[in-house]
Amino acid sequence: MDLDKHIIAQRRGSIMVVVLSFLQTPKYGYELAKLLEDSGYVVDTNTLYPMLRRLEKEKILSSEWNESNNRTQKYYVLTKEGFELWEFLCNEWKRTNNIIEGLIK
Amino acid sequence: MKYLDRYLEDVKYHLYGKDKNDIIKELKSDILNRLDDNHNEEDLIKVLEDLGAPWEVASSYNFDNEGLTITKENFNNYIKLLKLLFIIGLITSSVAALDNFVDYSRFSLSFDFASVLTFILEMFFNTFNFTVTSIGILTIIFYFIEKYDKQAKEYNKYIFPFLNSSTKVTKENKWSIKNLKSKRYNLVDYVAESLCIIFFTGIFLVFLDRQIWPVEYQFFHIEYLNLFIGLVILSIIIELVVYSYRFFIGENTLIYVVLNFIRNCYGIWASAYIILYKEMFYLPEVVIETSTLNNNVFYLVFLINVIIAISSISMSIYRYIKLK
Repeated sequence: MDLDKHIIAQRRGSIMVVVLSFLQTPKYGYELAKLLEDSGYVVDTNTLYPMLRRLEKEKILSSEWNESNNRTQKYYVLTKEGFELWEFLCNEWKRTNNIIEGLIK
Repeated sequence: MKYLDRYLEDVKYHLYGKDKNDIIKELKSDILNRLDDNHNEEDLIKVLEDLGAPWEVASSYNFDNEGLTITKENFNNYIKLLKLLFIIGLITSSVAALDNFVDYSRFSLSFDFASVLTFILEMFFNTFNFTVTSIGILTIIFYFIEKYDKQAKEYNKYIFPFLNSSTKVTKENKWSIKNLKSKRYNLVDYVAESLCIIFFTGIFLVFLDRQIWPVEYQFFHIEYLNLFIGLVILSIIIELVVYSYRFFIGENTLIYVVLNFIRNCYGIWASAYIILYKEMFYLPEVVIETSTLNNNVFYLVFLINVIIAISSISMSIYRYIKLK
């Protein structure tokens, strides 16, 4: 059985709430990728950056180019709508989690 | 940093939309973040290879392609080609309609109201016909390009299932930063070039046909055809070699620059040969009448040929030097 495939599929559903959780304060792509990696979520660059752009287009994130470490970096942060979405997703996650925990006890 | 620039250039080539420059800027920033200040060329190559082939990186940004006959990656090329064909159609139709002003019985020009009106109507309807036909043909061509591309991906999955499961390495993904090329877009380039060649040849034939030098006599007259069959065969061989080299190896190499130079020089030489010795090609029973206009047509075509050849040679040298 290809376990990797199923793990990836399961993580795909949770990745958004994880990314949004980190973006309460402005972060640039590489910084975010490192934070995700440190917390056990390894996200492919070709998944992360397009996702950030898609969220930006949907007004969930806003971005700004700023200087950091002598380099220009694109910083992403939650918008007001993004924050509301994050709160909604967190509640939804807790609700789903309770259901699953009840099932797998 | 030549590999980085080359890589980013290729990613950009495969992107569509207005955000191209922003995506490239962010990608460059990410790549540099992954490298130490004292990194060497090998470190850079490793980072780029980890990121994946440029067309794959670009395709991850080009979302929302599901269910489209022509995907967004190819749609820009489709529109560009349609615009090009419209311009070519307008030019050829205008040239073809010019004979409304020529009074062949006196070999003079007349610009009366009827001639002008017929010219405008003929030009308009011919352009319209040409454009509608072009849309149809081009759509069919692009449909097959998309189909071929998807089939190729399926084929790779079937042939390399063990490689596909985790590492995502497929036949299509086998690429090298040292020899960047994209077969997929070369295919579109070939279609564009072939259409240009066909339509420019069309303009040439229209010129000849309008000057009482019936084209069909030349093409369907076996004796006449025999006179320049050597030139045509040699030309086809040269084109095949150059196109094959570009398709299978790429166009950023010195050998391609040399091949392209030979191909264009041959083109100029063949045109010059035809102009200088064109009397050889006249057969008494074929040529009804010739005029000095024929020479001007040949000179014009020769001039266009020289300009195209010089541009082509310059571009290939420029690309080679820039990416070296």
